[in-house]
Amino acid sequence: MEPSAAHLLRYGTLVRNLVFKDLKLKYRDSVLGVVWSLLNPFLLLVVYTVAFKIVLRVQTENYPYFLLAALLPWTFFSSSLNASTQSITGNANLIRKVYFPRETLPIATVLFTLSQLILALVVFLPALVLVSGVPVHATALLFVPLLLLHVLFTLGLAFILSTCTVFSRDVAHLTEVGLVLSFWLTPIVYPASMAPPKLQALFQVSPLAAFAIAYQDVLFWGRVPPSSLLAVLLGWTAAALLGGYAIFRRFSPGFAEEV
Amino acid sequence: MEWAVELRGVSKSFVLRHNRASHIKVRLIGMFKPRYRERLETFWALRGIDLRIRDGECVGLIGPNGSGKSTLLRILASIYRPTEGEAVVRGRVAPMIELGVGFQPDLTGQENIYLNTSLFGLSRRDTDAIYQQVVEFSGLAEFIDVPVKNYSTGMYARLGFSVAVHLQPDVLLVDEVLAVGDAQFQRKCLERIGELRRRGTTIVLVSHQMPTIERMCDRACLLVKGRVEAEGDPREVLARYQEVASARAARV
Repeated sequence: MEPSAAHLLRYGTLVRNLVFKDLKLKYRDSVLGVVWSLLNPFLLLVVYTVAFKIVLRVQTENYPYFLLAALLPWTFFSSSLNASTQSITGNANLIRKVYFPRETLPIATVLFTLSQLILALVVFLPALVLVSGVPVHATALLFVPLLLLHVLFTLGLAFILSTCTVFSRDVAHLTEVGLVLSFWLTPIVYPASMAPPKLQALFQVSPLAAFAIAYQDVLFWGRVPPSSLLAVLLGWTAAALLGGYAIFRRFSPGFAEEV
Repeated sequence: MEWAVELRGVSKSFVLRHNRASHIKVRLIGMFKPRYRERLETFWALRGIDLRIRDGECVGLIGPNGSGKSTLLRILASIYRPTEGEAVVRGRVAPMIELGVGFQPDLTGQENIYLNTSLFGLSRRDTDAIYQQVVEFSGLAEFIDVPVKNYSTGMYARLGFSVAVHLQPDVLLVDEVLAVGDAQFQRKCLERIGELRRRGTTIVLVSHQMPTIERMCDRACLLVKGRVEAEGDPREVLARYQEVASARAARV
C-alpha cells in the first residue's frame, strides 16, 4: 500500500470531492453566496488604497491596480497556509478510521483557496482595467505560469505546516503571526523601490518578495521579471515542494496515532 | 494456496505521552515543575502476531477490551504501520471501523455517498455504477437529498453500512459496528455480510457477540494482551475465551 504516483492518481476524485465539499459548505444556505468571497478582497483593496494612496500619498500611478497584482495572490498564499495547519488535525477522526493518502488533505486545502483567488481575479481584474483604463500588457500572460509556481510553492509549505501542527499546536498560531509580519516585510502595498536599502536586500532573497515583485512586473509594469528573480522563484519553489513533500512522507504514516 | 492476509511477527507499540507537552507553555512549565514534565511510556498493543487468512475465509477476532483487536484491524486497514514485522493485505480493503465515518452533516445523503466512496479510492464512474444499489440497500431513497444531519442514528448507520458493503472489497474489516441499529438492521447487515462471504470476500470480524462469531466464522482468533492466545475452530476458541474471561473475573 505504498502511495505511488498511480496510487495517488486513483485518489484524484477524492481531492476533487474534498474541494467541492468545502465550496458547497461555504455557499449553501447563504443568500449572498459568492459575494462573501469577493467582499473580503474588495475591502482590502479599498482600505489599502485609502491608507496608502490617499493618506500616505504613495506616488505610484493607478495604485489600486498595482495593489491588486500582488495583494490577491498574497491572500491566496496566506489563507492557504493558515488553513493548512488544520488540514490534518481538523480531520483527525477521518485519519484514525480510514486509510487514504494523507497528501489529499493539504492538496485539497490549497486548491480550495486557489478557487477563491481565481474567483476574485476573474471579477476584479477586468473591473479595475475597465475603471482605471490601464493598458493590459502582453506580459500579463506570464501571470499563469507564475501562479502555477506560486501554487506549488504554497503546497510545499502547506505540507510542512500541516505536518508540524500534528506535533505541536503552537505552529498554527506561529503561522498566523509570521504571516502578518511577512506581509509588511514584502513589497505588496508599497513598491519595492520605496523600501529602505536593508529591506531591499531582503527582497533579493525572499521568495515572498520575489513572487510579489514578479506579479507586479508582469501585470502592472508590463515587463518580464529579471532572470535573477526567476532563479529565486524557481529555487525556492523546488526547495519548498521537494522538502515539504519529503517531510510529509516521512511523518504521515504516523498521523493516525498522533492526531 | 492464496493468502488474502499475511501477518509475520507483527508488533505494534504506542508511545503514551503523560502530560503531553504539545504547547510551548507546557514545556516551559515542565522545566521548573517536574510534576508537569512530559513522561513517555511505551505500550505494546500487539506482540509478535503471526496470522494468515486464506482468500474467502471469514475470521473472527475475539478478546477482552484492550487486547489489541482494534489495533490489529487498523494495521490490516493500513491506518497504522506495524512497529515490527510485516503485514500484507492483498486487494481492495473496506474497513468498517465506524459507520458513516467522514460523513459531512451539512451535505445530503447523495453527496455523502460520492464523498465517502472517493475516500476509499473509487472514481466518480465507479460510484455511478453502484449508486443505485447503495441507495436501495439503505432504504433511504426518499431522504437521499436531505442533509444527513437530519438523519436518525439508525438512518446514518444504514447509509454508512450500505456504502461500505458496496465497495466490492476483496477484504472486509468489520469492527463491532453491528452493535448499532435495531435487531432488524443487524439481521440485514449480517445477511449482507454472509452474502459477501459466499461470493468469496475475505472477512475479518471483531465482535463481542459470540453467537455471531460462531455462526459466521470459519475460524476464530483469541487475542489476550496483544498476543494470540488461541486460534482455530470458533467453538473451541470461544470455549477458551470463556476460561480466560472467568479466570480474569476470579482475579478481580
